Amino acid sequence: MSPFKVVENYQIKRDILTFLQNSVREPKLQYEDMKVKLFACLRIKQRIEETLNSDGPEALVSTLRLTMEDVRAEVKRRISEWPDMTVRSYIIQDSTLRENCVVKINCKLTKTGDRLIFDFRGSSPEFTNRATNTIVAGLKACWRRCSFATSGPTCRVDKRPLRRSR
Amino acid sequence: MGAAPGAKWGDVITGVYSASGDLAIASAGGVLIFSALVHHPIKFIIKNWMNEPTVGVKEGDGFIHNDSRYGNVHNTDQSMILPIFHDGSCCAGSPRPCTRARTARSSPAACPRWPKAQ
Repeated sequence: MSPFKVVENYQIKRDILTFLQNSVREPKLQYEDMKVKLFACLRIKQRIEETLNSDGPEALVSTLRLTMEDVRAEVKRRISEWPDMTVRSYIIQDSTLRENCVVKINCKLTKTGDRLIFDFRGSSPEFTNRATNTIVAGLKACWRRCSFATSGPTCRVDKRPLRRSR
Repeated sequence: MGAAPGAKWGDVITGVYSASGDLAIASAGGVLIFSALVHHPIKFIIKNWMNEPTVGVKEGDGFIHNDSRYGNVHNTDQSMILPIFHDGSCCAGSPRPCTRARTARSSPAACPRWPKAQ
């Protein structure tokens, strides 16, 4: 499912919901989960609107912005403290969860100043129709989790010092 | 919050994204990888659906997705994305990636063969 609209006027569209329910083994759970997710989003929306009403949009945007900029600066600082180096490694997976298949993931990690460069050249091509198809995307999340998961706000800019080549 | 077994075990996360689709703040609990990747479908929506006459993005709309090629861990994880408007313009987004209902093996929404409970 590529991103598509399933909610209008804060209500789940029943025709699309029915289609999704007919696509799964647990149709009641599918509906239940969609309702839960929608209401969780609405709760976040409520909190943001309360902030907008009490402090204004400039305060909200500046807070989000400051969070991101502070995290970026901190990540750069931490990376800068490491010695400049190059580390090479690789892993080989032997299954795509559907068939046996040897897949190599090659990685050369270079740290220069405040930048980390991930070089995946030499890796097997990414799959488009198997479960194991989020190598680069998953890497970004794993990097965040391993490096700064417990000590800083979670936002996207902690990956700004990362560069990727393949 | 979640209803699926994995969600009850904590396999969920939520976050607030900027109007351009970048993750600004994620919730403290949950599986980080979900919210770290959901900026991809948000930017897909901004690029492809916001100005598309047949779709559009307006207040009250919500989007769902699970395809890992558009930003997710794997196809069994579903994300709900809700744009937030203020004074007529989109100011933020609140996606809610969550572990998912199990999908049928042969459906286009399925993870091949072994949808996992997490």
